Amino acid sequence: MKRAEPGLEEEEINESRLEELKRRFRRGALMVVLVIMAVAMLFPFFWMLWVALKEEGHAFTFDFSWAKPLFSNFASVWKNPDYPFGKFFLNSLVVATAGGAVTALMCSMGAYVFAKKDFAGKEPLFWTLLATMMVPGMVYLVPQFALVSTFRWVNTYQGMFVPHLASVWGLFLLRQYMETLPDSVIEQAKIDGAGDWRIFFTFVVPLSMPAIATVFLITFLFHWNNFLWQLVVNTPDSPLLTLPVGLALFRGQYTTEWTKLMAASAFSIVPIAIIFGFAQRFFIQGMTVGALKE
Amino acid sequence: MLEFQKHKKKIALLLVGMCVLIGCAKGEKKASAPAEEIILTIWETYNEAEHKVFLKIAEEFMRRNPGVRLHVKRVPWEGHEMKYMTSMVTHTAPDIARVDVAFVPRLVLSNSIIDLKQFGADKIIHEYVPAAINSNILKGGIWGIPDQTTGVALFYNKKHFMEAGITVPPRNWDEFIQVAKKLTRDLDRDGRTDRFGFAMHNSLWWTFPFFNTFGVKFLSEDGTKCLLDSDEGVAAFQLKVDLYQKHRVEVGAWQAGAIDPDTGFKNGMYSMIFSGPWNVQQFKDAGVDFGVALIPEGPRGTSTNVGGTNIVVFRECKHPEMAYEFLRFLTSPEIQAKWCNTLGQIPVNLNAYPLVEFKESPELEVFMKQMTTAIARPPVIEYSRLEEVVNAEMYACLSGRKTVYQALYDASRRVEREVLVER
Repeated sequence: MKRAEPGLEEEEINESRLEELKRRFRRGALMVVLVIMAVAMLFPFFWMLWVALKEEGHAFTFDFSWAKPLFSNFASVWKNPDYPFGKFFLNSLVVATAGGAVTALMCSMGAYVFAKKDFAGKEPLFWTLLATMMVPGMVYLVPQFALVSTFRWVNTYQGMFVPHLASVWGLFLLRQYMETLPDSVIEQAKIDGAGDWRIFFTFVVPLSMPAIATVFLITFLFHWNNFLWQLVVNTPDSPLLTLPVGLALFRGQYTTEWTKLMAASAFSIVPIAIIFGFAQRFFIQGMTVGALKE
Repeated sequence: MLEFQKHKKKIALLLVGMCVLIGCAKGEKKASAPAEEIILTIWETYNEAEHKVFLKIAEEFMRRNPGVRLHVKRVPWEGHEMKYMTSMVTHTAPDIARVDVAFVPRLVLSNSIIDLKQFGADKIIHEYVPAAINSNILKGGIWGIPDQTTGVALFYNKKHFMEAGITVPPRNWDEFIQVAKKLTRDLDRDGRTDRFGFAMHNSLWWTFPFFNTFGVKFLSEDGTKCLLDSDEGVAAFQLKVDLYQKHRVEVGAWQAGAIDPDTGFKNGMYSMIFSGPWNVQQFKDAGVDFGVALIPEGPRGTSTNVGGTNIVVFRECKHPEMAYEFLRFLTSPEIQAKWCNTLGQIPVNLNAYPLVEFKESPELEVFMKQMTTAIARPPVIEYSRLEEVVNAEMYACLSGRKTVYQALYDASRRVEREVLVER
């Protein structure tokens, strides 16, 4: 039986300790970088809350003392009859949810066809659709408004989201994702007698859920933040005004009510934060998996 | 197809659910008005404090004019031009609207608003602050009435003045440079300047006080040439550039990412800035001990820029005479005095000047005096484009990439090619 040399064992232990130290250092350095990045990302949110708790004249003073936090800014924003914030909030929620859900549904249907079906002119049609992404959205504003006005959709929810349902970006993302789904599953389902609707709803939708959720989230965010279209498509007496339009009322020609604007902004990010909190796993998966094509 | 039949119920349920959601949250419909009533819809862009005063004025007008109903609605300032333009396309524009002074030429050229001369507006123009009413005069017509006018004056920190042994604000540009040098200080003696005598914006609008005090004529008589590169223009802009580059009394607040003049003034970092009446209350609330003085005199005396808004009557208004009546009421001396005493603003009607009280806001007296020397902006259709062109050239000069003459020469030629061509 061969005895282990004590010197060698000690050397191995030292090496493994050194490795452990290196690993810890790398981990520590990574943590430091991540903390710095997190602070940089979170600072605007902190600043938003900080300003929301200040008196109006002190919004831009470099004063970090927490002498008397003013929760009244939040209360006045929520209760002010000139800013029916609850209503703005509900309207935004309806428009963003409906817009996000219908866009995700339409894009996934279109993407399934482009990814798994063959028909004449498929590729040229897809590239033509992609080319429309080069046209700035502002170009569509007046024609779209003229159409909405003809349909008598001014001051309606459908007027706010229907003109933006066709998302080429969503179609592109979902097609890329669905192309990664194995054809064998679909073939097997066909052999078992499943039609296109069943294949789509039973196999394609569940398997593409990360990408569909991503399209929903991005579209939700687009409608949630959309200011100009929602301003244009509502008359000023519309009961359907949304949050971005409501927030803009705090800004005048020369002055801005910063403390109230920040308090209102704090309210407005709550739904987005909640949705991202729940769906971030899908979101990250959807953005990365679709990018890999075998 | 069979599969669609199977899922038909689900899809129908989804659509019904959406309709219910939409229907439930939909607001109540407006009640129709009695036929004999004159109804005027007004879209205004005031801030909250102004909106409240405006509502009271509208109520007073309705009380004095039985049978007239005013529908006042707020539109956010941001995006109001696009909002009005799209509403004109689809014939949903209001009867009366408050617009930026720079937007009036576009409304005139698109034939969207009516000439108020037909109601006698040409006989009352002498009642208004010249620079304010002039922004409504175009192509021989009077297309609106100013409802708010403003311009900048010199704000100075009294505490800093006292520390530097300065007793009175500078009266001309030479004094201004001397005072600014005294105010620019290295407080902790670390070799770096901690407090600057002056802070300024870059944009053309903020540079008009320089140009106007030097008597710069922006456009030729026929409106086809830009004269910004004249001797006067070069001298005026050279002064602004020297404050930063040569005298080093300006911090560079015009640069992207720098602390802007208002914020720096509030925090005691800048001793003098140009600003308007809109900031008086904010600075008081922030506890700044400040005074307001006239813009320093140049070869053509003191002068300033003009901002503010006009009220116009849209072409599809069914009762333009009554709309004009309201405009006159809103800008009458009595109402203007009430407006200005409540909000601390400059009256647009010169007859309201004696009715304004200065006890609460002594700064207002300076602004009112300054406004009588103000010069209106050049009447171009695309004022924002004019700013874009000139600002870029001025920025290049301030940051040392062009000489003053080269920057103004390039700006003038670009203005002629890219802005005046639309006239």
